[in-house]
Amino acid sequence: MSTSGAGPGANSILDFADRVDIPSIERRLPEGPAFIADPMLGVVRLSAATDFDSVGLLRLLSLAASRRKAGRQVRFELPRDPYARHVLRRSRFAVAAEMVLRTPFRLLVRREDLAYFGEEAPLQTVSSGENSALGSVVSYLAEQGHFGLSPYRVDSQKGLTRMLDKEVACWRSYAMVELLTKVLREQAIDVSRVIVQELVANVVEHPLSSVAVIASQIKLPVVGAQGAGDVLTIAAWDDGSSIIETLRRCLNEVGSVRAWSPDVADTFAVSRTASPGRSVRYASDWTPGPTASDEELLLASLFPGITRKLSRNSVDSLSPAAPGTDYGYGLFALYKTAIDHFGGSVELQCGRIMLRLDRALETGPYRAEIMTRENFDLLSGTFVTVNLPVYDG
Amino acid sequence: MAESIISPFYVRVSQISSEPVPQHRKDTYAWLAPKLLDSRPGILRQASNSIYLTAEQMRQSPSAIQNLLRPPAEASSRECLIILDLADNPYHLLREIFLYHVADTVVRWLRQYERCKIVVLLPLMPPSSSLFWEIDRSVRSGSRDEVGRLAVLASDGEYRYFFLAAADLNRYRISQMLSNDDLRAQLRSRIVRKRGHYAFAGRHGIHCSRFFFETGAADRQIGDLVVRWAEEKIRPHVRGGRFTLVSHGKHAQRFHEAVAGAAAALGSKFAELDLDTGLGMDQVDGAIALVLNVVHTGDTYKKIISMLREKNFHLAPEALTVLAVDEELPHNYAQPRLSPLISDLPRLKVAKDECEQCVIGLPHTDPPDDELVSIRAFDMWDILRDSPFHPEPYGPSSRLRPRLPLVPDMRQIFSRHGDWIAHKIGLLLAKLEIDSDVVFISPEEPIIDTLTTRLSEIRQNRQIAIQIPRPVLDAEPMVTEVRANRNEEWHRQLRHLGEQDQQNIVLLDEFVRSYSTARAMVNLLRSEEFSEFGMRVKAYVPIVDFSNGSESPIMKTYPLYRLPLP
Repeated sequence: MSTSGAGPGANSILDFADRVDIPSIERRLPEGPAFIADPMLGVVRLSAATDFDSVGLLRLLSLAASRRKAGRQVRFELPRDPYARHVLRRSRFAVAAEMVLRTPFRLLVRREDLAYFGEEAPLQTVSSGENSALGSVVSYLAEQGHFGLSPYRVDSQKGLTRMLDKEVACWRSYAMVELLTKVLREQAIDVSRVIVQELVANVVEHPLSSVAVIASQIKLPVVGAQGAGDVLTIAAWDDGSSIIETLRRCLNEVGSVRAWSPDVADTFAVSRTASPGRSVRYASDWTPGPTASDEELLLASLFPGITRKLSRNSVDSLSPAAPGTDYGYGLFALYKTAIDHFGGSVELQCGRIMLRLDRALETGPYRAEIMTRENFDLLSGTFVTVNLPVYDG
Repeated sequence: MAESIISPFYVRVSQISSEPVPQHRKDTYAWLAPKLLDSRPGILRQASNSIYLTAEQMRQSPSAIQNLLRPPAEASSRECLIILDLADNPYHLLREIFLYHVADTVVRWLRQYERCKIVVLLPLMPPSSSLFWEIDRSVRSGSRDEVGRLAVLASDGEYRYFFLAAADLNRYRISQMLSNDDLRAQLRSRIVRKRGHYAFAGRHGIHCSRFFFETGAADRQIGDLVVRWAEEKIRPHVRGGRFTLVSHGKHAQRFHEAVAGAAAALGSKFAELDLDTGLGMDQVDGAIALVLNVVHTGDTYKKIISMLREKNFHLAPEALTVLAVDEELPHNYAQPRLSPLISDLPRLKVAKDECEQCVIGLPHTDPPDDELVSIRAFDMWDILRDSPFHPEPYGPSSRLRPRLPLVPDMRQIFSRHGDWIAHKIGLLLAKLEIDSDVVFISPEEPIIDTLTTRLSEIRQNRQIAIQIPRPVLDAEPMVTEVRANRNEEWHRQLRHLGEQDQQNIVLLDEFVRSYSTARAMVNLLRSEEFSEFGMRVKAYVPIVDFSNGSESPIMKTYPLYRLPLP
């Protein structure tokens, strides 16, 4: 259920009950523009929430960041359920919110919620369904903070190095590699070697970014129930200029976004949610021109050789790549590994556009589904999500 | 017919500087080469140093590898075997884009040099989706027989393409694998024995101990040894092969995670045992295989066993502890038997009323909070009291200051306590936020070498150590001596470093008296005279500061202990 802001002086409220995850947030997105634009206060009501997933929390924070970017305040109403508060805490939601919204967390909550600060964790922290052998390992690692939100300041080289070091160290830790070796279909160390490194490398490419957050979660298949929720998700969001903005700017000012052409092209069957059943084919040696749509620019960002090289944090000094720097292959390596190696999918979200990429058959074209939310621009920065299917043992 | 030239390239990524090629890799090349050449004779040209890319290059310009790899001069005129060795790199650091450029170089060489064979050694075989396999598409589409001159070999024995017999590959794989003894040796070198004043509650009241053992840097070794132990000693001896790994240990999160990882590998359940809350029946499947971090007197072990028995849990016939540190270890405690991975590191336990530290009123150190960077006076003097004293064996020339008549035997101190001192230096660097891309620069003296070796073990090789010969540091003026050393390893390393700006330069010395060594090192690294080096020093870390304050430090100095000599 949801209640949007109503009447003069009332605040805009995003109201969540039960589990806060991507589907529950998607359902509320029609209220998103009102939430972001409300001149008074944007309230995220989590009072009735009972559980959270990390990627959902990151999506909420990215919405809140859009309000902040517009200079408007946000308040979170914390859950009444102690277990839900425990999940928020172990997901490091408060630390991430502070960094993204640049406000101490106690100023981001209601006065009465301050009573929850410093409380002990509830005794029963393992939820049902985590009772299989691997479930016991997953729930232990979750309690130790291996999944959840990891926020980073990325406005300096040092910050970016720290982000890369910490994320790679987490994903290649002994316990994580042994766990992923069991649940992923292919060589688990490729998660840290490719997925994590290229997600971080992608953040590096976005000018003017100051904060980046990595969110991760794993849902094991429920024994006997094939297919439900069995996925490892790693998402990265940063508040810099989005992929579309940077490519568009490069097109306008340099006149091209292609540095070189690949020898062999992948094929993409692109469909739009608005017109299901119809698809248009693109090959990865296609080059967007000045008339390319935002959707096409986002699609082309996956292609090898499509690049922009703005020097960091200086929008004005747009220039071709400096000698010695390499053209980007990052998203190319990312989708190849996520889809071809692990059988997963990749989602890119910039502003009002979301692109979901996967592959139905090993040899067929990649399937790109593009959804555009007309009339509003919900997300500042770039949100990249990688979903990898997991199997129990 | 002229003999073939065998030319190995030892490539390292995310390194701050070049390093000598380790002997074990040289041995591998010498073993591998005749096999690749069908026993025909060849001239093996061992490279002395690594080819390296920095972490920054791996992020920004991994294509740099294409310029760093140069084919042997004779490649176009005679038969060559090129060994491109990437196998010593952690696999996770080999970015896709980097592998793409390696593949590109290999294909280019195969096309250009038709008498050239190339073998690429990798730590693991990249998946078929990897950009590395552009190699595959390129060589197969080539008009020449390039496939027949190429091999790709991973350290686990997996291979692609040509000419190695399966038996030989097996030997290659086995030579890359770690035995239980290797794992234990690695485990031992990564344990930190932290000195302090630790309180333990035991059967006879509180007692004190000098040491607390930290095993966190050895999670991989612990995990692998637990897996091997459980497969051999537990699974065959419990009903249905079903068991749950239950870990116990205070202040040891990485230990628990290592056991959790082992449980994932074994397909068994995992639980951490907290003595206050106990275990629930639903947390356990089959027998409990207990894994402990440290066993002291065995009291806690016995308490755990009786608690679990009381609750009717079924116990596996053997339990494992990473460390057993007291002589009265309950080896023969009826059941389960307790098997230690390491049992010869004493912790020096005393009853509280006989404890010297308690007598002089020193407070107890609480393990999670004892992370002082500097060394406590008690610990330093405890170490010094045990150490022989000698006339100062090395140091700046007597022209700069007289040698000290008596100094502690720092070599013995570093070999006995180097793990802890290295851990302290690690803490300091973390506190100063300079703990990535670290370069330790020190005078070339065998004593400090003992410490940098320990640093490398504790910090898991995330560093480079460069040693400057004493005659260079003592020369006055230095310039002639430095020029004469142009072809030396240290000179080359410093030149490489001078071209970068991301590294954290830390000067390391066993002790400081007059700052003359530090001043000479700074002069070498910073002065305009040696502009090819030109680097900024982030910290100077002498282990003991003997200076009396009359010489003001020339940079940020962080001694672990201060003992002003008059």
